[in-house]
Amino acid sequence: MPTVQFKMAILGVPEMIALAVLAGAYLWYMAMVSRRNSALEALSGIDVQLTKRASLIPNVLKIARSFMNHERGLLNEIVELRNKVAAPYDPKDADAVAQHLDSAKQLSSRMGQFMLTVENYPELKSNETMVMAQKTYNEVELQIAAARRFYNSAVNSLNTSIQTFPGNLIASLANIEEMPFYEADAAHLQPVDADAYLPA
Amino acid sequence: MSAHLIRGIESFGDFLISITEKQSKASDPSQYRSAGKDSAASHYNLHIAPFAFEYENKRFAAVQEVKSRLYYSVAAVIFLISVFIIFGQNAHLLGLAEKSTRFSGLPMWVFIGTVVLLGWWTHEPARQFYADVRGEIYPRMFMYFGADFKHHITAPESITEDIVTSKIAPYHTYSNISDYVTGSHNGVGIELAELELSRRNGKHGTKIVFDGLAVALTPKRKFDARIIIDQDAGALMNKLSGLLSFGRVTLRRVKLEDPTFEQLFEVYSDDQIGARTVLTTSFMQRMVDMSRKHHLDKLSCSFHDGKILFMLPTGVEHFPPLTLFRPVDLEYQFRQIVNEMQLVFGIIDDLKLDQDIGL
Repeated sequence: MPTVQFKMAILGVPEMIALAVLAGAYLWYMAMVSRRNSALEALSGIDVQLTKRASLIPNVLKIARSFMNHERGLLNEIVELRNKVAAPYDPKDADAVAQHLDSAKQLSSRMGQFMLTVENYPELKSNETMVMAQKTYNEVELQIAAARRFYNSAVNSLNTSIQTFPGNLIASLANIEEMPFYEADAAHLQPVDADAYLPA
Repeated sequence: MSAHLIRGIESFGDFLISITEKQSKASDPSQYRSAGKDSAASHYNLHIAPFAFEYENKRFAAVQEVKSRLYYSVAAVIFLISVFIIFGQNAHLLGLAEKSTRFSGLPMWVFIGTVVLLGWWTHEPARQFYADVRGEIYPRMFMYFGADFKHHITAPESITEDIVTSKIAPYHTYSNISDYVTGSHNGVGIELAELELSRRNGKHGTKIVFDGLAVALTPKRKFDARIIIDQDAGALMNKLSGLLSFGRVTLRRVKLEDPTFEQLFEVYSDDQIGARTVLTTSFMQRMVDMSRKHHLDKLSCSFHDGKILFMLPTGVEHFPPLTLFRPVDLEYQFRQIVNEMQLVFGIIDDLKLDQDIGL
């Protein structure tokens, strides 16, 4: 009766270390991919809210144009920025994302300026459609703020894993790039000049 | 006895006046009521204390009735036993059987049935008394918080379903929910019920896993996201509970920026953005402040279907069972109810749930 002999392949210590390193690197890579996907998901969440705002802006401007003849410059700037934000971009390209978020930030700043200017036009301010539009706009801004927090949290997690060794090596091999943060509008961080709002 | 009761009522009145004065700057119950309404003390003296005498009389009457029915019942049972013994032992002499019979079979069932009926009949005045107290005194107590406050002895199925679907309840096999209260505070709908959850422990035992209040609030601001705020159990336990909670499969952990909030709570939601719309930085701060202020170390809550459901493990019996053998302690009960409603109003005010400006 023929006998069959099985040889157990026993790994040596160097092979086991190499295997552990490979497994660790793979797990790290998986975590980075998962974090990048999470950041992209959060970015798409921002885009949903930005689209909501973009579709709201024409209605707001339509009402405002008949009252705000002296603010043509501001209104045109808003239209231009709105078109920029609504334009397609590559979410996997960090520079394109940074530009997109920068435009969104500028639009936010100009819209804030616009809402303040509305205060100077009592008729416009009390217009029922404008009041409703402002309320909806504020709701959307709240949603954008929440989406920004989610995005920044996801980006923070991704960037930390990329910047930490051996993440930096794995990221460069796997072509995973850091993503830009969506920072709050700088105008909101400026100190407020109370004198400008108080009666002389 | 009456003099003792009057002294008790007076001392409770003094107690309420003293707490009203002490809390006038901090958490005066009247701050939760509209101007012109009675303070807790005067409400007690006006609307509840007079009934203390009436209910004490009712209790005496009920005790007397139970006692006399008990005597009749005991006499009836002794009579029945005697009849069975006499007839059983002498059945052969009376020609009912060939030899003396044992106390079993149909006679035994007749005896048991009669004892049960007598027991029910004896206890009936007590049951009627409890129903009267719960049905008449609790509405008087809750009147203090507003005309829309209603007390019900039994809780509807919906609140139990809310607790089950909220996924904040600990694992349990039995639930006991009672004393359901509805009302509103500054436009925020309030539903609360006393809740005890327990699970099997060994072959015959049970272990209480939750004892406190289930509070459902309907804030003015509407929200779509489903959010669970649970106690933080440490990094490893959070990970494990996230993996093992089958009901939370569709919910993902929401990592928030506030480190103090993150230390105390763990948040899960089906909508990362919706959850952050609700859990703004100021809301998180208010949650932290509120849990510290009211010493709610083990607070957990759920945002679902436009309602916020809190499980407050107070460990206090807010609606203690009544007994015929002690005076009706309306003082204690009203004090407990005022405390518990203060807690609920405090949660609404501290979390600004009455404002439609974002939570």
